Amino acid sequence: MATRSDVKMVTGKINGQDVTVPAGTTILEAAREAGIEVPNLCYQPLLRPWGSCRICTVEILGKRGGLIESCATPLGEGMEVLTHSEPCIDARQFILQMYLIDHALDCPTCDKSGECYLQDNTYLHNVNTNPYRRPKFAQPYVHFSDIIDYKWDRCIMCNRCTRVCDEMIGVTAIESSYRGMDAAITPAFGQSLDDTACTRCGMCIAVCPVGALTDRHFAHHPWELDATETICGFCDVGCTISVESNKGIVRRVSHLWERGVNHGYTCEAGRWGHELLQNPDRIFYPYVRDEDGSVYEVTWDDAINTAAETLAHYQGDQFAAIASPDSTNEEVYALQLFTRAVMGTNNIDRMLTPSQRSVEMAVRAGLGDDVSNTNNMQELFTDVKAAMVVGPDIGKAAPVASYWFYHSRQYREAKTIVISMDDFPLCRRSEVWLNPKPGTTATLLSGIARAIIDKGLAKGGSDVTGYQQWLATIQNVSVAQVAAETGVAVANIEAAAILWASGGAGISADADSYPPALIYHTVAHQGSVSENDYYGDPAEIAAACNNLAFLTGNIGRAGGGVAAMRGPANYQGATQMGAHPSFLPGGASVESVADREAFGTAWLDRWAEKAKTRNGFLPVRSLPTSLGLSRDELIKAIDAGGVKAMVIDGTVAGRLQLIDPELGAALDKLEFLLVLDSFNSPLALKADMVLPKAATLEKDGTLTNFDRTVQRVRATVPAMGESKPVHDVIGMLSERMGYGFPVMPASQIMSEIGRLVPSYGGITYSRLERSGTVTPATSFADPGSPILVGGPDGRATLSLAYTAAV
Amino acid sequence: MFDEVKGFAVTFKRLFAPKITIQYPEEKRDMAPRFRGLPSLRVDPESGEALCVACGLCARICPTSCLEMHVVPSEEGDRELGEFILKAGRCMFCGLCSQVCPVDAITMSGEYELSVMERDGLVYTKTELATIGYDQDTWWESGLIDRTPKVREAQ
Repeated sequence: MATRSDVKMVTGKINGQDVTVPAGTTILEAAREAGIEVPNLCYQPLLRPWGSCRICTVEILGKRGGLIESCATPLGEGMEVLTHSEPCIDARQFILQMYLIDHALDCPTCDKSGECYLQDNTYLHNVNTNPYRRPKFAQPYVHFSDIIDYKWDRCIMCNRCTRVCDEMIGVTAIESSYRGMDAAITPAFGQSLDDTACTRCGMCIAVCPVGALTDRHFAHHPWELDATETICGFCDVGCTISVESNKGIVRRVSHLWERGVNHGYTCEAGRWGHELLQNPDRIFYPYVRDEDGSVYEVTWDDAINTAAETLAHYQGDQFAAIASPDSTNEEVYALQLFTRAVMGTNNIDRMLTPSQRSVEMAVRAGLGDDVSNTNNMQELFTDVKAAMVVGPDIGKAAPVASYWFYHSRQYREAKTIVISMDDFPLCRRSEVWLNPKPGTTATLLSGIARAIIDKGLAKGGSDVTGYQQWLATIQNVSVAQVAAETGVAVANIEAAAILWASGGAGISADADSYPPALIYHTVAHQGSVSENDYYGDPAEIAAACNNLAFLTGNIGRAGGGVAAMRGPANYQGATQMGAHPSFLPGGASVESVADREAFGTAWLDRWAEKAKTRNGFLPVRSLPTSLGLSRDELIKAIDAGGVKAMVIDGTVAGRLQLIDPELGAALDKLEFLLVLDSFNSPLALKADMVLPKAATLEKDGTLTNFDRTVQRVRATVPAMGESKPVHDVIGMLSERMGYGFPVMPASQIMSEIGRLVPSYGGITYSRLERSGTVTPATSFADPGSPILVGGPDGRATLSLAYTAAV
Repeated sequence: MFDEVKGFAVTFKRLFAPKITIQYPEEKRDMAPRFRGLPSLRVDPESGEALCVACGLCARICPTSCLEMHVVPSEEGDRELGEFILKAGRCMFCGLCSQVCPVDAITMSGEYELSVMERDGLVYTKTELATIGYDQDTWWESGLIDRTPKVREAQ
């Protein structure tokens, strides 16, 4: 974890080795930094020390030394510590023997066996016999819920599970109950776990050092499984997960602590989402649907032949494609390449909900580019002093991002302001929770802006385009009027304004030194997280959030910025890959001659010199010049019979319902609809031809998360049935249509992207093997730009503009 | 004359002695108590339930990987044996599976008639192995309790 440079450092001696760490670092963590592993059971990275297991006992030398638990003791200046001296080992052996008196010792049938901390430490410390014995107290499994089991006689009461539930997940759904020998982990207040706020994230199982909390769906031993590190494909946070499989089936998702943007923590989707791979709705083979609705399975060869011949009749603006915002960058790139260079049209877009579309509009208008996060989420660990969370329950929209708000509150004393109509645990723990009336969130944000100006806390943003017009509209707003309209007390609006604008510091004379403050908003999830709440027009709310950030000078500053959580795993990547009617990959405009030429030379050379004209199908010799159809225009064009054939890449979110029902209804009028999907979704039911698409865990590629970090996705199991990734399908289709874009590995597609798209210039698979890379990264030496700045000076710039939305 | 009598002496002597030839296959030989025949699955002699707890250690220790264990989560929260497959064509009858078993659910039976017409016949499933092993003692007990020569003499 990054540390701030102004932190005081202390130097101690561990096993004779000098170790310099920030003050407050515990001996255990200092030892880990020096490469010395201190055995432990109850220590968990990012959680408060607990000091209950006592296995991490170390010896401190000197007059006032002795044996002490290293996980809870900060390293002092000049402290001399021995981690493996004889008294330490003796103490640990004794403690382990005490644990083993009442431990179930049913290792052969315990799921944890093989990766159990108690087992490992017992071996490590040569505890082969136990002089202390008494009859075991056997207990049956207690079913906490349909996924979590608890076995009391294995539990060592280290409280890792209750701590993670309280401090990280923020729900306190389980707690330790009773005393002495009866002590046990139970759902909070003796309720059923389903009645508590449990988010079913399964982190309690993940952190359990022994097999006391177990996954009811998992009955394997860790040594039977092959692990692959990959990225979760369910939301735009982009968590690193380790997927363990055998016999071609994913058995579980495990956790790589202190790795990835999520530091090992996951949510329900991350931990159990892999079960979707085995879903009975999976499509195994390509199939076609004839006029009377009968379905015929066909071979890939036949499917591609038919698709190629049919699509050849619809070249030009009669064709449109919709990419999936949770497909990999390579897949999206291949689909837009096919649309532009083979079908000769710019009619390509992403499959988005109306809320996501509005937020995109506002973000483009305000920041000049569609960036989900101007900064990096990891700044919640280092710089952020105040955070504002706006919109539907972030704990459901982006669970792992919400964990870091609890963490920054708890450990960095960052102030939290929540503006939400949902009642979720972060609301209760925040300093200020504003609960506006339905539809008035944007008004409330402009009220906060007014209060910031009134209190003299505005310290920037006056040089941003549109400031004067915006100021004129905000002058018409009064805090009292906003309070009346939104149902939030004036005092609360002012408190939120002061707390947030001053970075939690309060009003002071030195306005330049206010600590940074950020805004996360989840209005793009409106309608999908909480159905009944109406926050208002997402575009207005997103614009108001941008305006607040400009006003307080928090754009382009570590710990500041605006983050618009969107939902789909590769929203940012799909946008950057050019799945947009107006933009080529990398955000180049389709109307710019120079950009068109740059891409045109690379793409159109693939047509054979003398490619033949068949049935009116021509090789594309220049890229289309006009803007593609926007979503509204597309619906109109389909209705009017302008667009007759479409290729749509299905999304995970659209598995059960249509993402955009209006567009979905229009699709019935098409002459030919080709859908690539993993599931028999409502979209696939409308299609004339359905091709099975490999799910995220079944293919190689890259995903770009909302931090603009490009991360490597790896195939963990073979694709189900005959499913293929989209770029393979596009490769086969293109070859069949005479365009030389063969089926190739994702890495080759990425190297083409790297050549053509400047912001992905430094991204190669070999670099991603080590860790994710933040875009824009223009060359291999470029470390990437976590913080985007406004104005023309910085190398990664945004063109900022106030949007007078209210 | 004398030579003929002398020659038949051995014959007549053996004619009245008990037979030692075993009329296989009508008659089967009593194998040594710790003979290592086909591994089989035992049941609890009292309740008649399968003893296996599906820990998978037998499959793990098998040097020829002839055992395959499919485990499913049980209702109680524990693990349960889904399917158990023994590919006898690969088995080298080392007995490690029965040694490692924590509940003595697997034991080496006296079964030695393993000839089959087709290779598929060498693949034994859970039910088949349970049929072979339902009345088997644990491997250790079968050797130690009632069949050792010492015990027999005492009886």
